[in-house]
Amino acid sequence: MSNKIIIQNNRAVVRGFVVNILLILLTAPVIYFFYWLFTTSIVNSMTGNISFKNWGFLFKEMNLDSIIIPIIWPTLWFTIKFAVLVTLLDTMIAVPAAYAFSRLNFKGKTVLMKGLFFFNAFPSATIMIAIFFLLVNLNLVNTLVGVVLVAVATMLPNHVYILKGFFDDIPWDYEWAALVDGCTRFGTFKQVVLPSATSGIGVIMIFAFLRAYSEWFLFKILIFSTKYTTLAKMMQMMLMDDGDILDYGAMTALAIFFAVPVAVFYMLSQRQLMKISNLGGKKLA
Amino acid sequence: MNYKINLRKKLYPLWFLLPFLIMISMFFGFPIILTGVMTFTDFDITYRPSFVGFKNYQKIAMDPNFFKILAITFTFTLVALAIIMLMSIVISILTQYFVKRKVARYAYRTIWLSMNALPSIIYAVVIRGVFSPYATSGANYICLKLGLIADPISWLNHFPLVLVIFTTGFLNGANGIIILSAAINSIPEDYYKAARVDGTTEWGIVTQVIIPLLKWPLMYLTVTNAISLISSYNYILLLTEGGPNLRTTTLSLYAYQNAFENSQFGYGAAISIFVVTISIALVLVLFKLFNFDEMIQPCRIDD
Repeated sequence: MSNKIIIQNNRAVVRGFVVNILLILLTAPVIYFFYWLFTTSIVNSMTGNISFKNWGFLFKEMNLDSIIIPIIWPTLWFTIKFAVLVTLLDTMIAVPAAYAFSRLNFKGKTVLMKGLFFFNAFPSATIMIAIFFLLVNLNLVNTLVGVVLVAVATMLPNHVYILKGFFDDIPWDYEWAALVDGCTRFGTFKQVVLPSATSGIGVIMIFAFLRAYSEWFLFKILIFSTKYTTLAKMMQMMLMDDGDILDYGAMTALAIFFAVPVAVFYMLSQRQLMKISNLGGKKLA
Repeated sequence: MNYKINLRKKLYPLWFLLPFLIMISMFFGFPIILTGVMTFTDFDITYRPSFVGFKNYQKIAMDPNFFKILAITFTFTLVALAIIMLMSIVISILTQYFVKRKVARYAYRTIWLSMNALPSIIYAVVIRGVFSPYATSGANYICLKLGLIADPISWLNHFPLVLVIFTTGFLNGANGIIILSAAINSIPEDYYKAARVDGTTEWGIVTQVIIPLLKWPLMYLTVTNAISLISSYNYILLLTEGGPNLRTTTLSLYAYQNAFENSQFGYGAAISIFVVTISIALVLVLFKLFNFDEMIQPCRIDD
């Protein structure tokens, strides 16, 4: 009997050991990525000493051998402006739509719900050619309005879908109570449902902001002037123009500068994001 | 009067939906149809398209690169999908079930979460930097030290497809880990206890308790990842731009390049139609997997 317990304990120890080794092996590349990113940004690539030369873009235009990195603040400012615009428009459109999907009856709701799921999974990259053509004809190509509209449209189905889940969770009794007390349908939406769905609205705002903040693809296709450049677009240009001969010191410094707001933002909002545990309606387990 | 009230009631949801419907039809519905129409035109840099019938499709059939690209697309999708699914299953089960200490579990989760949060462009910088041809770059440095290679190699020129597949798989896998971890977390502890009382081994718990309970998220992840692998080319564009010599060009990237680099919009659209068709088929599979009518609740207010 006691022998059996010892064997079992030994097995548990071995298992724990194997599990940790496996996990460490699998996680090692990620840690190495972060480590590499950090060390490269604070090392002078010529001498190998620690230097903050790579961070020069914080104060002045940097003229490297192959590329010029402009002073960073106007680009950051534009990126934030773009992200805020996208977030606001996205929320303004997604909230009422999600409410309708969750709470109102209308003809064709089933079809539209399917459409929502369809467009949620549908890759907008494949129809970018047609979207480009559309914007050319609307004279919206190379304008801020154009990219904002496309950016919002591509994230809308996903966000309406997530938000609908949050609305579904609000008990109907709240609305009934408000209606009995003489509130109108729109009144209940504004005064009862919206305040109860703030966490859901927060979640989609976080998603919208993060995605817009790291957008470069739409800028590559729909914008030709350098006037509108996000941080991500700037990095993408350097990465693709110079390829192998890139100055990775400055590039990694830029990457960290770009990532820090995201990391902070994400950590602050982690609890909020954990609230979406189901993939829209159906409980997982 | 009654009729008017009825009409108002009917139109009421429209006010909530109108902006959404406009956006969706403008940037999804219409472009999908337009892509179909464009395949029959010779739309190019002159912006004076005329109808050319099936010429673009004939051109695809004649394209000497087409089958090569199709093969690359298949390899890329299947191998990356296998990596994504395997990695997310293994890591999420290990961290959420086998790691009992809360601190360790939290640490692993934070690492993978933050991995998922950072923009793709940052990983492109890291991968290109670590695998750059310099002797001091990460991969060359380690391999030289270990004596695996004699001279520094240009990794992105020698093993472009391998690198692209692993990067895409690894980074998309991070997303799967989060979804599966949340799902495993929501399994009640009693299930495990019951299985142990019945004498199930740990391996048995994994294969007979956890995996069957993860059926839905697993199917969801498989299909959505397949769609995104076939149709998006984010990392490929950032890492190799399809090169060298088309060795990492997938169908959707080829469509993009034909349209936006060679200004052959009609031809690009014709290639896109392939990808669109595959995507639509996959989405329909997703529909079948998730029973839809269950998800739509009726309105419970009769006003």
